[in-house]
Amino acid sequence: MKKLPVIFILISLVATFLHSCEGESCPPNAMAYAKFTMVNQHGTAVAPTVPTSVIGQTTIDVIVYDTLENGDIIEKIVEDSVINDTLINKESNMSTFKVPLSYSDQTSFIINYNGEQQDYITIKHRNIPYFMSVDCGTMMFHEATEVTHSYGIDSIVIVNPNIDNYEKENFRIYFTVADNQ
Amino acid sequence: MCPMYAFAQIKKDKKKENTEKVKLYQGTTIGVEVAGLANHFLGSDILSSEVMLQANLLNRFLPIVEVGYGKVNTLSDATDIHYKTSAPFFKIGADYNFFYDKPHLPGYLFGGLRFGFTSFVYDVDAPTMTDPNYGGIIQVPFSYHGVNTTAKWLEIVGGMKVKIYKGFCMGWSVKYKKRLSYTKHENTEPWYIPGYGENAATGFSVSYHLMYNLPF
Repeated sequence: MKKLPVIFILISLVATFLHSCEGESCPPNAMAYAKFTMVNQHGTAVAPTVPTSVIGQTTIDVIVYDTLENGDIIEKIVEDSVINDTLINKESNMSTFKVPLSYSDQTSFIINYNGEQQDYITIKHRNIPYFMSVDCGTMMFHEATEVTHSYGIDSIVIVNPNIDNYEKENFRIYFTVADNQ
Repeated sequence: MCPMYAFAQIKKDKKKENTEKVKLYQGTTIGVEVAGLANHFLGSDILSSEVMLQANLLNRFLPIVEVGYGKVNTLSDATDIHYKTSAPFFKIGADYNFFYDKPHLPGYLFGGLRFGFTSFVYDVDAPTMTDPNYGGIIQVPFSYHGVNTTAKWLEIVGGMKVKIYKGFCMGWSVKYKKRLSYTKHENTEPWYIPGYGENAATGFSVSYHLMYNLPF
Protein backbone atom coordinates (compact mmCIF):
# COMPACT_ATOMS: atom_id res chain seq x y z
CA MET A 1 0.00 0.00 0.00
CA LYS A 2 2.89 2.36 0.65
CA LYS A 3 3.72 2.22 -3.03
CA LEU A 4 0.26 3.37 -4.10
CA PRO A 5 0.95 7.15 -4.00
CA VAL A 6 4.10 6.59 -6.07
CA ILE A 7 2.13 4.57 -8.62
CA PHE A 8 -0.52 7.25 -8.74
CA ILE A 9 2.00 10.08 -9.19
CA LEU A 10 3.64 8.16 -12.04
CA ILE A 11 0.28 7.58 -13.75
CA SER A 12 -0.61 11.27 -13.34
CA LEU A 13 2.71 12.40 -14.82
CA VAL A 14 2.24 10.10 -17.82
CA ALA A 15 -1.33 11.36 -18.30
CA THR A 16 -0.22 14.99 -18.05
CA PHE A 17 2.59 14.36 -20.52
CA LEU A 18 0.23 12.65 -22.98
CA HIS A 19 -2.29 15.47 -22.60
CA SER A 20 0.35 18.12 -23.26
CA CYS A 21 1.46 16.23 -26.38
CA GLU A 22 -2.01 16.47 -27.91
CA GLY A 23 -1.57 20.17 -28.73
CA GLU A 24 -4.16 22.35 -30.40
CA SER A 25 -6.27 20.64 -32.99
CA CYS A 26 -6.57 23.64 -35.32
CA PRO A 27 -6.77 22.78 -39.02
CA PRO A 28 -3.54 23.50 -40.94
CA ASN A 29 -5.36 25.83 -43.36
CA ALA A 30 -7.51 28.59 -41.95
CA MET A 31 -8.45 29.69 -45.48
CA ALA A 32 -10.88 27.83 -47.73
CA TYR A 33 -9.81 27.59 -51.37
CA ALA A 34 -11.82 26.40 -54.36
CA LYS A 35 -9.70 23.95 -56.30
CA PHE A 36 -10.06 23.71 -60.08
CA THR A 37 -8.56 21.08 -62.36
CA MET A 38 -8.29 21.51 -66.13
CA VAL A 39 -8.91 18.42 -68.25
CA ASN A 40 -9.47 17.59 -71.90
CA GLN A 41 -12.50 15.85 -73.37
CA HIS A 42 -11.03 12.48 -72.29
CA GLY A 43 -10.60 13.60 -68.68
CA THR A 44 -6.81 13.86 -68.90
CA ALA A 45 -5.13 16.79 -67.18
CA VAL A 46 -4.12 19.61 -69.51
CA ALA A 47 -2.28 22.87 -68.94
CA PRO A 48 -2.20 26.09 -70.99
CA THR A 49 1.00 26.44 -73.03
CA VAL A 50 1.40 30.09 -72.00
CA PRO A 51 1.75 31.77 -68.59
CA THR A 52 -1.73 32.04 -67.10
CA SER A 53 -3.24 34.49 -64.63
CA VAL A 54 -6.45 34.23 -62.63
CA ILE A 55 -8.25 37.39 -61.59
CA GLY A 56 -11.04 37.12 -59.05
CA GLN A 57 -13.97 39.49 -59.42
CA THR A 58 -16.95 40.34 -57.27
CA THR A 59 -19.51 43.12 -57.15
CA ILE A 60 -20.39 44.91 -53.95
CA ASP A 61 -21.75 48.21 -52.76
CA VAL A 62 -18.80 50.43 -51.87
CA ILE A 63 -18.82 53.53 -49.69
CA VAL A 64 -16.81 56.41 -51.20
CA TYR A 65 -16.11 59.85 -49.83
CA ASP A 66 -16.45 62.91 -52.07
CA THR A 67 -14.99 66.28 -51.21
CA LEU A 68 -17.28 69.13 -52.17
CA GLU A 69 -16.07 72.54 -53.42
CA ASN A 70 -16.77 74.05 -50.00
CA GLY A 71 -14.49 71.45 -48.39
CA ASP A 72 -17.23 69.28 -46.91
CA ILE A 73 -16.76 65.53 -47.19
CA ILE A 74 -19.84 63.49 -48.05
CA GLU A 75 -20.36 59.75 -47.91
CA LYS A 76 -21.73 58.09 -51.04
CA ILE A 77 -22.63 54.47 -51.73
CA VAL A 78 -21.64 53.23 -55.17
CA GLU A 79 -23.80 50.19 -55.86
CA ASP A 80 -22.52 47.10 -57.67
CA SER A 81 -18.91 48.23 -57.79
CA VAL A 82 -16.66 45.67 -59.44
CA ILE A 83 -13.73 44.61 -57.27
CA ASN A 84 -10.84 42.81 -58.98
CA ASP A 85 -8.14 40.84 -57.21
CA THR A 86 -5.25 39.18 -59.05
CA LEU A 87 -5.06 35.80 -57.37
CA ILE A 88 -2.58 34.01 -59.64
CA ASN A 89 -0.07 35.95 -61.71
CA LYS A 90 1.43 34.42 -64.88
CA GLU A 91 1.91 30.88 -63.69
CA SER A 92 3.35 28.37 -66.13
CA ASN A 93 2.13 24.84 -66.74
CA MET A 94 -0.96 25.37 -64.58
CA SER A 95 -3.22 22.31 -64.78
CA THR A 96 -4.78 22.93 -61.34
CA PHE A 97 -5.28 26.08 -59.34
CA LYS A 98 -6.68 27.09 -55.95
CA VAL A 99 -8.42 30.42 -55.47
CA PRO A 100 -10.47 31.95 -52.64
CA LEU A 101 -14.11 32.86 -53.12
CA SER A 102 -15.38 36.21 -51.96
CA TYR A 103 -17.64 36.79 -48.96
CA SER A 104 -20.29 37.95 -51.47
CA ASP A 105 -22.79 35.43 -52.87
CA GLN A 106 -21.17 35.37 -56.30
CA THR A 107 -17.55 35.29 -57.45
CA SER A 108 -16.22 35.40 -61.00
CA PHE A 109 -12.81 34.31 -62.22
CA ILE A 110 -11.11 35.60 -65.35
CA ILE A 111 -8.54 33.12 -66.66
CA ASN A 112 -6.12 35.16 -68.71
CA TYR A 113 -3.82 33.26 -71.08
CA ASN A 114 -0.86 35.67 -71.27
CA GLY A 115 -3.13 38.48 -72.49
CA GLU A 116 -3.97 36.58 -75.68
CA GLN A 117 -7.29 35.04 -74.67
CA GLN A 118 -9.62 34.95 -71.67
CA ASP A 119 -12.14 32.56 -70.18
CA TYR A 120 -14.74 33.50 -67.59
CA ILE A 121 -16.16 31.40 -64.78
CA THR A 122 -18.90 32.60 -62.44
CA ILE A 123 -19.77 30.73 -59.25
CA LYS A 124 -22.85 31.38 -57.17
CA HIS A 125 -22.24 30.29 -53.61
CA ARG A 126 -23.56 30.25 -50.08
CA ASN A 127 -21.15 31.48 -47.41
CA ILE A 128 -20.83 29.51 -44.17
CA PRO A 129 -19.02 31.28 -41.29
CA TYR A 130 -17.60 28.53 -39.09
CA PHE A 131 -16.32 28.18 -35.52
CA MET A 132 -14.59 25.13 -34.07
CA SER A 133 -12.34 26.39 -31.27
CA VAL A 134 -11.57 29.59 -29.40
CA ASP A 135 -7.88 28.94 -30.14
CA CYS A 136 -8.31 28.62 -33.90
CA GLY A 137 -10.47 31.64 -34.74
CA THR A 138 -13.32 31.67 -37.22
CA MET A 139 -13.24 30.48 -40.82
CA MET A 140 -15.38 31.11 -43.88
CA PHE A 141 -16.50 28.07 -45.82
CA HIS A 142 -18.64 28.08 -48.96
CA GLU A 143 -21.11 25.86 -50.75
CA ALA A 144 -21.17 26.23 -54.53
CA THR A 145 -24.72 26.23 -55.86
CA GLU A 146 -24.27 27.09 -59.54
CA VAL A 147 -21.45 27.58 -62.02
CA THR A 148 -21.51 29.24 -65.45
CA HIS A 149 -18.71 29.86 -67.95
CA SER A 150 -17.75 31.51 -71.23
CA TYR A 151 -17.75 29.74 -74.61
CA GLY A 152 -14.03 28.91 -74.60
CA ILE A 153 -14.73 26.27 -71.96
CA ASP A 154 -16.68 23.13 -72.91
CA SER A 155 -18.21 22.55 -69.50
CA ILE A 156 -17.57 22.75 -65.78
CA VAL A 157 -18.60 20.02 -63.36
CA ILE A 158 -19.03 20.69 -59.65
CA VAL A 159 -17.14 17.69 -58.26
CA ASN A 160 -17.54 18.73 -54.63
CA PRO A 161 -19.66 21.78 -53.75
CA ASN A 162 -18.24 22.08 -50.23
CA ILE A 163 -15.31 24.48 -50.15
CA ASP A 164 -13.66 24.26 -46.76
CA ASN A 165 -10.16 23.99 -45.34
CA TYR A 166 -9.70 20.40 -46.51
CA GLU A 167 -8.11 20.50 -49.94
CA LYS A 168 -10.04 18.56 -52.56
CA GLU A 169 -11.09 18.97 -56.17
CA ASN A 170 -14.16 21.20 -56.27
CA PHE A 171 -14.51 22.02 -59.98
CA ARG A 172 -13.39 20.23 -63.15
CA ILE A 173 -13.03 22.40 -66.26
CA TYR A 174 -13.38 20.54 -69.55
CA PHE A 175 -11.68 21.88 -72.69
CA THR A 176 -11.79 20.45 -76.18
CA VAL A 177 -8.22 19.89 -77.19
CA ALA A 178 -7.03 18.51 -80.53
CA ASP A 179 -5.66 15.00 -79.97
CA ASN A 180 -2.25 15.92 -81.44
CA GLN A 181 -1.71 18.66 -78.79
CA MET B 1 2.30 -37.61 -0.94
CA CYS B 2 -0.43 -38.03 1.62
CA PRO B 3 0.52 -35.17 3.98
CA MET B 4 0.99 -32.78 1.01
CA TYR B 5 -2.46 -33.63 -0.30
CA ALA B 6 -4.02 -33.05 3.07
CA PHE B 7 -2.32 -29.63 3.39
CA ALA B 8 -3.62 -28.50 -0.02
CA GLN B 9 -7.11 -29.60 0.92
CA ILE B 10 -7.06 -27.46 4.07
CA LYS B 11 -5.97 -24.34 2.12
CA LYS B 12 -8.71 -24.85 -0.42
CA ASP B 13 -11.30 -25.15 2.32
CA LYS B 14 -10.08 -21.93 3.96
CA LYS B 15 -10.36 -20.04 0.70
CA LYS B 16 -13.87 -21.36 0.15
CA GLU B 17 -14.75 -20.27 3.66
CA ASN B 18 -13.51 -16.71 3.03
CA THR B 19 -15.51 -16.41 -0.16
CA GLU B 20 -18.64 -17.61 1.53
CA LYS B 21 -18.23 -15.00 4.28
CA VAL B 22 -18.39 -12.02 1.85
CA LYS B 23 -21.87 -10.54 1.67
CA LEU B 24 -23.15 -9.22 -1.65
CA TYR B 25 -23.89 -5.72 -0.39
CA GLN B 26 -20.88 -4.15 1.32
CA GLY B 27 -22.07 -0.56 1.60
CA THR B 28 -22.51 2.71 -0.27
CA THR B 29 -20.14 5.63 -0.73
CA ILE B 30 -20.97 9.24 -1.54
CA GLY B 31 -18.36 11.72 -2.73
CA VAL B 32 -17.54 14.95 -4.43
CA GLU B 33 -14.86 15.76 -6.99
CA VAL B 34 -12.85 18.74 -5.75
CA ALA B 35 -9.97 19.13 -8.25
CA GLY B 36 -12.25 20.90 -10.76
CA LEU B 37 -13.54 23.25 -8.04
CA ALA B 38 -9.98 24.03 -6.89
CA ASN B 39 -8.89 24.65 -10.47
CA HIS B 40 -11.70 27.18 -10.92
CA PHE B 41 -10.94 28.99 -7.66
CA LEU B 42 -7.28 29.19 -8.69
CA GLY B 43 -8.30 31.26 -11.71
CA SER B 44 -9.42 28.90 -14.48
CA ASP B 45 -12.34 29.98 -16.68
CA ILE B 46 -13.60 26.41 -16.49
CA LEU B 47 -15.58 25.00 -13.56
CA SER B 48 -16.31 21.28 -13.48
CA SER B 49 -17.32 19.19 -10.51
CA GLU B 50 -19.44 16.16 -9.78
CA VAL B 51 -21.00 14.18 -6.97
CA MET B 52 -20.90 10.40 -6.93
CA LEU B 53 -22.91 7.56 -5.47
CA GLN B 54 -21.17 4.19 -5.49
CA ALA B 55 -22.27 0.82 -4.20
CA ASN B 56 -19.89 -1.91 -3.09
CA LEU B 57 -20.82 -5.44 -4.16
CA LEU B 58 -18.73 -8.34 -2.85
CA ASN B 59 -15.98 -5.78 -2.17
CA ARG B 60 -15.11 -6.35 -5.83
CA PHE B 61 -17.67 -4.71 -8.13
CA LEU B 62 -18.43 -1.02 -7.58
CA PRO B 63 -21.30 0.32 -9.73
CA ILE B 64 -21.32 4.12 -9.79
CA VAL B 65 -23.55 7.02 -10.80
CA GLU B 66 -22.11 10.52 -11.12
CA VAL B 67 -23.95 13.79 -11.62
CA GLY B 68 -21.93 16.91 -12.30
CA TYR B 69 -21.99 20.46 -13.49
CA GLY B 70 -19.66 22.03 -16.04
CA LYS B 71 -19.38 25.70 -16.82
CA VAL B 72 -17.12 27.87 -18.94
CA ASN B 73 -17.20 31.58 -19.74
CA THR B 74 -14.04 32.52 -21.57
CA LEU B 75 -12.68 35.21 -23.85
CA SER B 76 -9.58 34.25 -25.81
CA ASP B 77 -6.77 36.81 -25.76
CA ALA B 78 -5.43 35.45 -29.05
CA THR B 79 -8.62 35.36 -31.12
CA ASP B 80 -11.01 37.60 -29.14
CA ILE B 81 -13.65 34.84 -29.29
CA HIS B 82 -16.11 34.57 -26.42
CA TYR B 83 -17.52 31.12 -25.60
CA LYS B 84 -20.04 30.46 -22.88
CA THR B 85 -21.92 27.40 -21.67
CA SER B 86 -23.09 25.75 -18.46
CA ALA B 87 -24.94 22.49 -18.03
CA PRO B 88 -25.26 19.35 -15.91
CA PHE B 89 -23.77 16.06 -17.06
CA PHE B 90 -24.33 12.44 -16.10
CA LYS B 91 -22.11 9.39 -15.92
CA ILE B 92 -22.88 5.77 -15.21
CA GLY B 93 -20.45 2.88 -14.94
CA ALA B 94 -18.59 0.57 -12.61
CA ASP B 95 -15.18 0.07 -11.02
CA TYR B 96 -13.37 -3.14 -10.21
CA ASN B 97 -11.42 -3.42 -6.95
CA PHE B 98 -8.11 -5.12 -7.71
CA PHE B 99 -7.53 -5.65 -3.95
CA TYR B 100 -10.93 -7.24 -3.29
CA ASP B 101 -9.31 -10.10 -1.36
CA LYS B 102 -7.36 -7.75 0.93
CA PRO B 103 -10.11 -5.96 2.90
CA HIS B 104 -7.75 -5.42 5.84
CA LEU B 105 -5.75 -2.84 3.81
CA PRO B 106 -6.66 0.85 4.26
CA GLY B 107 -7.22 1.33 0.54
CA TYR B 108 -7.31 -0.26 -2.86
CA LEU B 109 -6.46 0.24 -6.52
CA PHE B 110 -9.30 0.14 -9.01
CA GLY B 111 -10.03 0.31 -12.70
CA GLY B 112 -13.34 1.10 -14.31
CA LEU B 113 -15.45 2.32 -17.16
CA ARG B 114 -17.95 5.19 -17.47
CA PHE B 115 -20.50 6.24 -20.04
CA GLY B 116 -21.08 9.99 -19.97
CA PHE B 117 -23.68 12.17 -21.64
CA THR B 118 -24.84 15.77 -21.54
CA SER B 119 -27.25 18.09 -23.27
CA PHE B 120 -26.33 21.75 -23.29
CA VAL B 121 -26.66 25.12 -24.98
CA TYR B 122 -23.73 27.38 -25.84
CA ASP B 123 -23.07 30.90 -27.11
CA VAL B 124 -20.22 31.99 -29.38
CA ASP B 125 -19.33 35.58 -30.26
CA ALA B 126 -16.38 36.38 -32.49
CA PRO B 127 -15.04 39.53 -34.09
CA THR B 128 -16.65 40.54 -37.39
CA MET B 129 -15.12 38.55 -40.24
CA THR B 130 -13.53 40.65 -42.98
CA ASP B 131 -12.86 39.18 -46.41
CA PRO B 132 -9.05 38.96 -46.64
CA ASN B 133 -9.26 39.22 -50.44
CA TYR B 134 -11.27 41.31 -52.89
CA GLY B 135 -10.30 44.61 -51.32
CA GLY B 136 -11.08 43.56 -47.74
CA ILE B 137 -14.42 45.35 -47.94
CA ILE B 138 -17.09 42.74 -47.24
CA GLN B 139 -17.71 42.09 -43.56
CA VAL B 140 -19.79 39.34 -41.95
CA PRO B 141 -20.78 39.43 -38.26
CA PHE B 142 -20.26 36.27 -36.20
CA SER B 143 -22.59 35.63 -33.28
CA TYR B 144 -24.47 32.41 -32.51
CA HIS B 145 -26.47 32.12 -29.31
CA GLY B 146 -28.48 29.26 -27.84
CA VAL B 147 -26.92 26.49 -29.94
CA ASN B 148 -28.43 23.18 -28.72
CA THR B 149 -26.04 20.25 -28.49
CA THR B 150 -25.77 16.78 -27.02
CA ALA B 151 -22.59 14.75 -26.49
CA LYS B 152 -21.75 11.20 -25.41
CA TRP B 153 -18.41 9.75 -24.37
CA LEU B 154 -16.64 6.86 -22.68
CA GLU B 155 -14.09 7.04 -19.87
CA ILE B 156 -11.53 4.45 -18.84
CA VAL B 157 -10.67 5.11 -15.21
CA GLY B 158 -7.77 3.98 -13.07
CA GLY B 159 -7.13 5.16 -9.54
CA MET B 160 -6.91 4.49 -5.87
CA LYS B 161 -9.05 5.04 -2.80
CA VAL B 162 -7.73 5.27 0.76
CA LYS B 163 -9.36 5.69 4.15
CA ILE B 164 -8.57 8.94 5.98
CA TYR B 165 -10.57 8.84 9.19
CA LYS B 166 -13.48 6.61 10.22
CA GLY B 167 -15.84 6.57 7.22
CA PHE B 168 -14.05 9.35 5.35
CA CYS B 169 -11.92 8.48 2.34
CA MET B 170 -10.15 10.20 -0.50
CA GLY B 171 -9.29 9.01 -3.96
CA TRP B 172 -7.31 9.96 -7.01
CA SER B 173 -8.11 8.79 -10.47
CA VAL B 174 -6.83 9.29 -13.99
CA LYS B 175 -9.36 9.22 -16.80
CA TYR B 176 -8.82 8.55 -20.47
CA LYS B 177 -11.80 9.94 -22.37
CA LYS B 178 -12.99 8.94 -25.81
CA ARG B 179 -15.67 11.01 -27.49
CA LEU B 180 -18.46 8.92 -29.04
CA SER B 181 -20.69 11.55 -30.63
CA TYR B 182 -21.71 15.20 -30.53
CA THR B 183 -24.07 17.46 -32.43
CA LYS B 184 -22.35 19.51 -35.10
CA HIS B 185 -24.17 22.51 -36.49
CA GLU B 186 -23.58 24.12 -39.85
CA ASN B 187 -21.80 27.14 -38.40
CA THR B 188 -20.42 25.93 -35.10
CA GLU B 189 -19.25 22.97 -33.14
CA PRO B 190 -18.92 22.97 -29.35
CA TRP B 191 -15.47 23.91 -28.08
CA TYR B 192 -16.10 22.83 -24.49
CA ILE B 193 -18.41 19.96 -23.50
CA PRO B 194 -19.52 19.92 -19.81
CA GLY B 195 -18.18 16.76 -18.18
CA TYR B 196 -15.91 15.92 -21.11
CA GLY B 197 -13.76 19.02 -21.43
CA GLU B 198 -12.33 20.51 -24.60
CA ASN B 199 -13.90 18.96 -27.65
CA ALA B 200 -11.15 16.66 -28.91
CA ALA B 201 -11.51 13.06 -30.05
CA THR B 202 -9.72 11.87 -26.91
CA GLY B 203 -8.53 13.47 -23.69
CA PHE B 204 -7.06 12.89 -20.26
CA SER B 205 -8.08 14.28 -16.90
CA VAL B 206 -7.14 13.79 -13.27
CA SER B 207 -9.76 13.77 -10.50
CA TYR B 208 -9.53 14.03 -6.75
CA HIS B 209 -12.52 12.85 -4.71
CA LEU B 210 -13.44 13.28 -1.10
CA MET B 211 -15.78 10.47 -0.04
CA TYR B 212 -17.78 9.16 2.85
CA ASN B 213 -18.80 5.53 3.42
CA LEU B 214 -22.44 5.61 4.52
CA PRO B 215 -23.07 3.64 7.72
CA PHE B 216 -25.65 1.36 6.08
